[in-house]
Amino acid sequence: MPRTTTSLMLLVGALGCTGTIGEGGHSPTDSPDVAPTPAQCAAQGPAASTAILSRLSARAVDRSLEALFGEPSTRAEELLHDAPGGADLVGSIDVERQLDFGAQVGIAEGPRLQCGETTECRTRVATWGRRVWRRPLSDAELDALMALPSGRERMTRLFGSPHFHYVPEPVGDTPGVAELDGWARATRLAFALTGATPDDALLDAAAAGALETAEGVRTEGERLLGTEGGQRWLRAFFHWWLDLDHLADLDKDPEVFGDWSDAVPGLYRRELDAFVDALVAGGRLGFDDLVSATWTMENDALARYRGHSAPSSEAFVRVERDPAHHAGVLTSGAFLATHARRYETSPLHRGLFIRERIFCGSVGDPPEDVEVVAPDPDPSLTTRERLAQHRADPACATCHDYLDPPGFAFERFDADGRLRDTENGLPIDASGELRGTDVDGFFDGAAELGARIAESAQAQRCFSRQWFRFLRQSLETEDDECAIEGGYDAMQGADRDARDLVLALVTSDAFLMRRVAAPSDDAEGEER
Amino acid sequence: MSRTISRRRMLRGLGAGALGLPFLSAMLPAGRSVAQAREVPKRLVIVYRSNGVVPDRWFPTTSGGELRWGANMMPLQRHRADLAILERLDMVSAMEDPVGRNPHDLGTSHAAVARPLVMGPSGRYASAGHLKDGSAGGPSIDQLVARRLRGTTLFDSLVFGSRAGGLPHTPINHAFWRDRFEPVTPMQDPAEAFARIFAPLGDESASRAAEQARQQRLLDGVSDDLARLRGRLGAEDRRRLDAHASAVGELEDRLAHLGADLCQTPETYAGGTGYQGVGRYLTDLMVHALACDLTRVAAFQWSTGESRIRFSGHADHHHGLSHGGDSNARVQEDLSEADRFYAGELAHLLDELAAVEEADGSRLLDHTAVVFINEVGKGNNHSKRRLPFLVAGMPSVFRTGGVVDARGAAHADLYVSVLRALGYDDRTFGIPEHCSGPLGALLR
Repeated sequence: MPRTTTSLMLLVGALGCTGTIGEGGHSPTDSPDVAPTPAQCAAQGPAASTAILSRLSARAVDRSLEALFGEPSTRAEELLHDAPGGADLVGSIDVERQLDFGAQVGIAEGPRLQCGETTECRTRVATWGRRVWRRPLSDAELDALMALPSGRERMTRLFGSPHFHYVPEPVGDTPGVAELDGWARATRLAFALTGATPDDALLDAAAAGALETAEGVRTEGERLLGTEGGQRWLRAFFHWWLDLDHLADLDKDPEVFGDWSDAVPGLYRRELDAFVDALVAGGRLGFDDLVSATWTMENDALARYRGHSAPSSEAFVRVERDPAHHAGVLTSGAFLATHARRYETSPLHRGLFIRERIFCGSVGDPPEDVEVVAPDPDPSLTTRERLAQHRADPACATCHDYLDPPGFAFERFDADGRLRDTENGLPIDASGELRGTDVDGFFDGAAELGARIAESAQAQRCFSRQWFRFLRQSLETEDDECAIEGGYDAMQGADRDARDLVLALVTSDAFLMRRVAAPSDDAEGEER
Repeated sequence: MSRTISRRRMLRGLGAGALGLPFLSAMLPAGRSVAQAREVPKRLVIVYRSNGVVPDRWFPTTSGGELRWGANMMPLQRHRADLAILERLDMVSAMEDPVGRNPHDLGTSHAAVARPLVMGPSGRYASAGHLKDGSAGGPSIDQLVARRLRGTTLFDSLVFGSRAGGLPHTPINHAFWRDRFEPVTPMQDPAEAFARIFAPLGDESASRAAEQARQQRLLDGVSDDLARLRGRLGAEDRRRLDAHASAVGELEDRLAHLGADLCQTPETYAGGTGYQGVGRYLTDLMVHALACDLTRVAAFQWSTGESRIRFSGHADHHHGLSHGGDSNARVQEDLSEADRFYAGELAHLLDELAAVEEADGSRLLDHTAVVFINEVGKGNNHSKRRLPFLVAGMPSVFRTGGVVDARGAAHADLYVSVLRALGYDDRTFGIPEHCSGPLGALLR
């Protein structure tokens, strides 16, 4: 099929500080947030992006081992040594690592495949082969496995093989958009919704041809979301979206935050997880609640840390908080403490988050060779006042007028994530202005900012984009724009439930198909 | 350097529990011969760090015809005769890169590559939130040389790092690249690095025939799987899988090489931890691998671009500090401490290279070109001018012992000189537009 997406390319142009995705420039331009129309998407026909043959990340392998063997695993993380995204190309040492990894799993789990030349044995090996390679094994492959002298070697072979470590999506060589087969769909769906390899029920569905339709995929998707693995992965989205990679080892300057302890990051993590769980348990994972709820989940340790005495249990329970200051996950301890410096808040980093992750606005980098100098500490000023000094420079203000003010909304929360009334004995001004969005205007404090975000179509579209990236673990291409818009549409229903968005995304063409690019003449001929 | 220690004892000391006995160890016949005399080979080592330097306290000044060293370079003073201090060397390729704009992505991926960044499938070169895309524009100098030496030694190259992790396909995280979209992930685990590189040398266990047969079956099986997998894939994916096949080939090559002249195992790991401890041990392993001619090309990556390492006692991490003002005394002192740290670690590397005696009585350092690189010149303006690069070693080839004024030449020129020093006759490195041949001032 010829490419018909040219008109959609408008979406990803360079739009400066107020752009939507794309690279951005150094000066703001007031381009509106343009989404593809239903007519454009209909005219476009099936759209899906090409993909690079991917390799399972160590984390995905560990989660798969957990799903398969029922025990927590760090084996892959210890042995495979790859980066979190996992798509690194291999050298001979990486091949060795895969073989050693296979050998270790073989030693641990080999007894499961220790059996003789019986039909039962062959069936058992075939079952495990399908689980590990995520597709049925051919007779020749099964023969080769049966010929190995021990269960250990069979398991080693399964887990050391490129069939396990790579995620092949065979669609042939004809340029155009091609349907993925049921096995490839099962793999995409399982890693998207549970972060791990498909379970037996999903593989059965693939074998029965149930994944050949979007409806069939949706049925399985709904089921997976309800599994324990699905629930865990749902939480993982929020950690990813809120950029909490460093939460676990977050530390704060003891001279400024004397009662910070190693226990706080764990409490903040559990607060966020409990909040998401509570929304799901309530039957609706609403975008509005996520960004504007004035309640949170606390246990006694967290309540004590925050200096109030509400719950008296180890378990996290719902606690109403000051509606003037709170805004769902945006005022979670986890978000506020990670988006701050060790010794003071950073409205810039919090504002950058609002700009990039909430509104999907691009942010230009500071121009080359301009001194990018953080303001020196000054105890006679508030953080806001010190930042005002650098915004006074017109060269900086072109972008920072878009970045710092949304971050000021959170100034009532210190760098350790706790509410504060004053800074350096001075009153705090948490007012600010949103610019370059569909809900521009002035606000005072996080609650008002959250309320604006909850009503923003741009923010909800961005939420769909963020989910897409998380589910695919890669950046979208222009071919994916209609799928992202479809996710947004799905969340406009009666419930405005984010799970509808997720299901719409995993049943979109972008998920069910794959583009085969026309052969390119690439840079193969260059001097090597 | 030649201290013989029981490898098994060493593995225990390393706590290599998770790894167990690595793959290759079973494949080796017992008993090794020590390296024989022959012509001393040339080696290349690149060391990367980030966030620029405090220029005033780094570059030497001249007063009364006498060179006064910058305070932060003092840890290197004992190696002054082996050191060429680059002045006015510019990262020209990065200044004119039409694709990249984040100064740290640019600096890190140009530092050893000198080619424009390329965009990824998403049409971006990097950074949209925390998902990144795009790649350096081609192979880094070390990998280019490694490719030419393919098959000469057990390892084409060895790349190490300390806290050099990050997302793949992300220019800012990788200084070293096999090619575009193929970053080299550094080895960062001391126990693993030791086991992979040295454990296969001299396993003294008696009967390993059964284990060998098992490993051979596994390797054969993987080769079969690879061929079958290849058959199921489209052309694009096949290209990607070919890199895997070539890695399997390299592993087989290494099997074939085993039994050739190898030398003794290195010093036991004293258990140093943390950024410096891990870095030191891996530096020592790197030198030992070079001394044993297990590889002729090595690289070391300290942290990543825009390094977030926080040194003890500092108010903020390195990148945060690097955006402090020039007049902020506390920040400048902390940054200086970081500069002295890296200078000190480089001095340690040079100590080790100088301590190894080759068969003809010369030093390993006499045959090794060491290039110390950085992503930017100065942190708070991301300057691509006046790069704080150093070249060390091969004093009969490089004009060591003082300052080499590059007069605004491109850093790609420096790499052409390095290629010349290694015996190649390249006229250019990176893209020709940003390279004007060897840096004459650097060569004797």
